Amino acid sequence: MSRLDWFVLGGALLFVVCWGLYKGRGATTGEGYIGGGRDHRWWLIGLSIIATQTSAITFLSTPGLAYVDGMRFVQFYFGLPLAAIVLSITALPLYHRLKVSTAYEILEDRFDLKTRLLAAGLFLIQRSLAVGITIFAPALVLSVLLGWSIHANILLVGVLVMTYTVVGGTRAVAWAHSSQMVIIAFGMILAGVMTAHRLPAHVSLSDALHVAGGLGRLNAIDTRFDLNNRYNLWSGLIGGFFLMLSYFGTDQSQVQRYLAGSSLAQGRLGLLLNGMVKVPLQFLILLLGVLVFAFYQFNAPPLFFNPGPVKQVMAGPDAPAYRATEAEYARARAVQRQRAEAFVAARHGGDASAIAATKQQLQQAQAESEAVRVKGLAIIEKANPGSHPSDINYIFLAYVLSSLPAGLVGLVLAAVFSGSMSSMSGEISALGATTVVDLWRRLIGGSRGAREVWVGRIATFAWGCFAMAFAEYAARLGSLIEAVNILGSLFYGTILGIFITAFYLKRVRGGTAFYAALAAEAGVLLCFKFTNISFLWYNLIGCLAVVGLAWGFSWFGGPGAVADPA
Amino acid sequence: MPMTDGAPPILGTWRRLYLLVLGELLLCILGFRLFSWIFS
Repeated sequence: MSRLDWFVLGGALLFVVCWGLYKGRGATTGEGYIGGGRDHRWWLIGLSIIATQTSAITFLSTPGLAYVDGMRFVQFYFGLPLAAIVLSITALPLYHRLKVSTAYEILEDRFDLKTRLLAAGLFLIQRSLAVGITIFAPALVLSVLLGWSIHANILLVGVLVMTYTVVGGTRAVAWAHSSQMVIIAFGMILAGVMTAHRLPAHVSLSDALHVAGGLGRLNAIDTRFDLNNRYNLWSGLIGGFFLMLSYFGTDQSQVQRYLAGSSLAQGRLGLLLNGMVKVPLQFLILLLGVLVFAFYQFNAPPLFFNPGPVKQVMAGPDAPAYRATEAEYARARAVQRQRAEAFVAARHGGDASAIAATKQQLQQAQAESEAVRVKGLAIIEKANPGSHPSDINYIFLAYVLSSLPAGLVGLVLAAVFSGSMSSMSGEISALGATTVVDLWRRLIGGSRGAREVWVGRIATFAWGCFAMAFAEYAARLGSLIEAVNILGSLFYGTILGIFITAFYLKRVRGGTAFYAALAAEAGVLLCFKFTNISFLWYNLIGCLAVVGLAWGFSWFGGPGAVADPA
Repeated sequence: MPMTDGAPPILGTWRRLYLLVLGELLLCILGFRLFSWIFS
């Protein structure tokens, strides 16, 4: 990494922290600290919502997923615009009318205290674990890049984020988000442009996309209905819809963003902006991974992008076998490169039969290379028993470090850090707010004055520390972005079911929803443990189970069907 | 559930804005399908 890279990276991070501190100054009451003054405009809300979702994982895993598996992951987000519309019509007006600070407040009005605390508790558990995974990602970046310890990296990111989040609260988070999104947009666009520019001179962007498409990396839409297929149009539209409905409607890290709006209209516009931007944004990030894939059709990639397990193999008795497999892989990739060149030449020649023939040869070469890679992975797994070797999170980073020019490396890393900081700040801010509003204010009866600002700061700081501690364990997980989404799907359906029951099942009262939610959550966890159902469907299963059980309990006089006297 | 909070700053009504969001999603799905088809 050059001095220019360090300058860009350091300057960008320093600017984000200072900007957040400057714009977040002046919170004197708990409402001001948690609600951000309730004067945010739609564009600031929209940017803040997008930034909270956009983590470093977005940059590390998503292009890697496209490289390995193609673009079908984009379907995961198809439910988001639908959820934004439904929430804009239903939940947002309710939240604004009741002037709540957290989403869980309305559950006590509708049911009882224990249901409110259950939903808040599920949020605190799920989100605090997820934010730990979120901050592990940049630690991984720096540990690979500089050889720093992961512990030091987690501490650095945590301290940077907590500096402005703990001091300034929701307002500081929102304004820091705006600067982070600018850095992210620049980093992503320039990386894409530079990747296209670094293709061989005779290979056009169209050629590169045809090569990637011929090798199955542009499979953006899969219309087959299959419950065991993780990403298809239907799991995205239906399962994704319920996940997004729960995430944007009941997850405080998002609800807090649009509750900071100066009016209901501003909050709605911010949420709809997110609904319009997220799908194309995710498509572009996946396209970046596809371009990296195309780049490596004309340049030699390593057998395995993650250098850690490879070092372990090289230090053990399997080193000669791995070296031999590496050499075999290099030969297979050289053949694949020749076939890719032949395919491009055939395309330029315009002969349809030659194009079809060279494409088939290229696909065959890809299959042979992949077979050699699988042999290499088996050696890595043998040296690391019990591990499931995955380099998805390393592919894009390895490419950036080896192939992009000075300055741009720093900018991409700044974008990765910005992503991590933006999601961590939004999440620990929401964890702090829930702790203050649903626990401290409700159970201990704390006041809303200046003292609450300090309680909020202490809670935010404590959750930041917890997240950093949990991040230490994230190294054991596979693809990080999937881990976050799977974790979310285990809880989101249940939480959404509680809220849908609150909104639409008038006959359900008292503790019914509470017991229905406990039973539904147990059912989702059993599904996770004992079935192969794709995780997106857990959102639907959990939600329907809560609604169905609550309705059944209320009808047949099951647990909690009679309202608590309180 | 209430549907309005004054008119949105663009397109005049919330209903039109929701249709715009839905239309964009449909365009994305069709566009991605077309993109995959062209380059496969």
